[in-house]
Amino acid sequence: MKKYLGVALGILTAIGGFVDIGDLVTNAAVGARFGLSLAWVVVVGVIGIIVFAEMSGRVVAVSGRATFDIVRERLGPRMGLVNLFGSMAVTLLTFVAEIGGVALSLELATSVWEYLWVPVVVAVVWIVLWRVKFALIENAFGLLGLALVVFAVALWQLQPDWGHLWHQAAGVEKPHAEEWSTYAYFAVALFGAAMTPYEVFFFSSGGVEEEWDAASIPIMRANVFIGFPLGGLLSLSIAAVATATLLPAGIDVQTLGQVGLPVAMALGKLGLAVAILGFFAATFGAAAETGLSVGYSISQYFGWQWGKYVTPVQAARFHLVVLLSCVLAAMVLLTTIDPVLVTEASVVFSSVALPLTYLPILMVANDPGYMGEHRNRGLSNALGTVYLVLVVVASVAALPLMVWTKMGTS
Amino acid sequence: MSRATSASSRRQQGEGSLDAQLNLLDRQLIDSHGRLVAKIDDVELHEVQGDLVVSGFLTGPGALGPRIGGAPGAITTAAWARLAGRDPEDPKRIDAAHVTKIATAIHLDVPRERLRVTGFEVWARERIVTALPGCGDDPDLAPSGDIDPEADVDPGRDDAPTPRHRLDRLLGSGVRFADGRDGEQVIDATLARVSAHPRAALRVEGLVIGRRRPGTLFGYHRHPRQGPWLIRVIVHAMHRTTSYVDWADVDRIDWDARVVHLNVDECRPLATR
Amino acid sequence: MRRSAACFGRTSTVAVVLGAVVALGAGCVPASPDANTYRDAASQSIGTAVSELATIEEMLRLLASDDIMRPAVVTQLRYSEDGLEKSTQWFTGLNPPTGSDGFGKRVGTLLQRGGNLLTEARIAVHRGQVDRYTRIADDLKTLGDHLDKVEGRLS
Repeated sequence: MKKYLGVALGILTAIGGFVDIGDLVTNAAVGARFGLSLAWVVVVGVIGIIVFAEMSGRVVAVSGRATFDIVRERLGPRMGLVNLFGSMAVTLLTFVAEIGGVALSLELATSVWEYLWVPVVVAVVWIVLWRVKFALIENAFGLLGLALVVFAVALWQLQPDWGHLWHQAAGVEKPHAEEWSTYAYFAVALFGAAMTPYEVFFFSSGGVEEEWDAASIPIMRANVFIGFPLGGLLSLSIAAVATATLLPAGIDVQTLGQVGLPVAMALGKLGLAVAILGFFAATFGAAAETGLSVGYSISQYFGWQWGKYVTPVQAARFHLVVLLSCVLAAMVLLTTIDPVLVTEASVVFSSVALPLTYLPILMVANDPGYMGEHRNRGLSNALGTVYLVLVVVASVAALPLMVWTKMGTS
Repeated sequence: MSRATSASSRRQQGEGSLDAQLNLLDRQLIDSHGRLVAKIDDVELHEVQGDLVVSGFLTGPGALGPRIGGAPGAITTAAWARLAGRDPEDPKRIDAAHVTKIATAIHLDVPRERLRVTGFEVWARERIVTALPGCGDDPDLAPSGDIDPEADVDPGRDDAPTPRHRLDRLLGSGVRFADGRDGEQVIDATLARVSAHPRAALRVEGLVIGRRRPGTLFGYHRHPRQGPWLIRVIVHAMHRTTSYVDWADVDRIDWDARVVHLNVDECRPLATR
Repeated sequence: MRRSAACFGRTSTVAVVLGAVVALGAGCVPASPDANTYRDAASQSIGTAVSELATIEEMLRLLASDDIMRPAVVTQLRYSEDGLEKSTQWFTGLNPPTGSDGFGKRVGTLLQRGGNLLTEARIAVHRGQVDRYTRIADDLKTLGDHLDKVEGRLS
């Protein structure tokens, strides 16, 4: 019985923890502008993150080596350092966006100006990363994040034309008024939002934190194969409610309030309150994950002791990096930069950084010395290769599209 | 590639042998308590009676700087040397005698406090972490927090009767055949134990020669049939000319010029199909 | 997403931090555009206005029926007012090309009216004047429909 509860907890945490500020903003914005004609990208992205999370989870369960250990081993110190800079820059950018997201959620709930919340949020995030146990962070924010199910409830309540929505999603019908270049840009952005590199760093490092071994693989797979698709459905709900309510009204999503507006329209005050709780949980949880991921990446590259499974005294450099990241994030946000704009940039740069992370994982997952009998079989390799090609295409296309479409504004 | 050639290549590289770059470099060192120590930033090689033996592991910016190379590497080494008050040619070192197991990480038989390789960690701990409330205790540290002064596992360079070299200088060295022609470059060194004892020293058995391009670290020359298919095909296409030379066929190594002089006129091809 | 294409204010702060890429993303238009660029700029500003007006209209209606919390509306008004004002300032700061038959002036006037309505909304919400919400929402809808028609004539 206890074991089933444990598995259920893992799955629920995976669902609730799937969505972050990038998913919230990008899905709502795309839904309000393109309808569900880009839904296929969410599906492709979710399958991709499932493939690579499972692979990196399997690697860490069998070998005890987390992703950045492998990146340095397989790419060498020089390319590994380039990779480190790139991945860390994107993860830090995402960290800034998530902290901004927490501040925006609090602003939405209280109307207190977001930038007044920033120092408070940064301080609390840092304290959580300093003192709170890993499992508690994961479970608490993962479960609270389930509040975002309110978007699925709101969609049901709105009773949209299901046939029309399905037709749009399956038919990949780009709206007349939009250009193919903008469509492609948002496809890359959605892809990056679903397949953020930090997910893989965090997932594999979490395997060490939670002391996975080969026997943990089935449970890990349950979390990934069941939890992630359901999390993906949440993303699609966020897009669909925006399509049902904001698209006809000509409303573009640029604030968190507009992300939550459909829920208020469908379910009133209670619905919006639950949605704001969901925003808070999703962004705070993701802030913790990205903050830790910055520390994990650097520590794993240099070989430092890292992790929340030891006391801070035993992992001083790791905690120093986390502390500095928090300070840096606060400084960036206090320039009164718009967190939504930072989020938009972070998902696109995530797409750019993806191949650097995925190539080493794919190779190590095949290495018999590392994996023994758990190495990749036909299906994992087939999917892994297809996605490697996809991430390279997205990575190469991302920056030119960003410049060409002026970040989607044209 | 015929099966006979594949079999002979396997013999060349030996069962139970490992590749220095592939299996040692950039791997994690773990202490006797299972805690993380450092990465193997370079491998120290020692000439002993005509053999090249792994004598230690080098770690820290002093060892990593030259491997990153160029201006960033030089700056890193210089900065570290100044901050740590050490000779830039003398990076932090762990003796190879401490290795108990070589797997996806390299395990040592001493606790990390005795290894004196983590100046930055100690600085970060003392200056920053302990200043903050709730920093916790280190159950493995002595109550006074001092490093055991008896545990000097860094014998120092003066004891070495013969010169010590770094693997990084060997990798990328040019190859010159007996007839004066230049070959490609050293991309890896195959190691094997000098005797059957599980903790016997590792000795260089042969050199893997090829082109120093991306893909040398991916391990496809060691596991020719490793997947996935697309990457294997691309790597093999780029590294068709990978070959192998036994240590016995090496005449001498010019460490300063980074050239390996051979006794033979050609190397044996390595099974890459 | 269509963003108010102002080259000033919060976008310039962004440009400092995110550099050249964001400067390009701001979609700056030269101060003396040609006829096509001017029409595009008008379209963009109208799009921004329609979005902000519709958002506040919807929120006011929800507030009138007590289906949304006041802090959320106050927060959104802050962004919407600011965004529309920047867009209006940017657009009215452009030199209309010759032969643009004065539509630029009409658009500018409508944008300013939109800004005034949002200010009215903000004051009403701050004072908790529930009886005014529906009327302001209706005014926002009328203006929004008008802007839609103008944009339809532009393209």
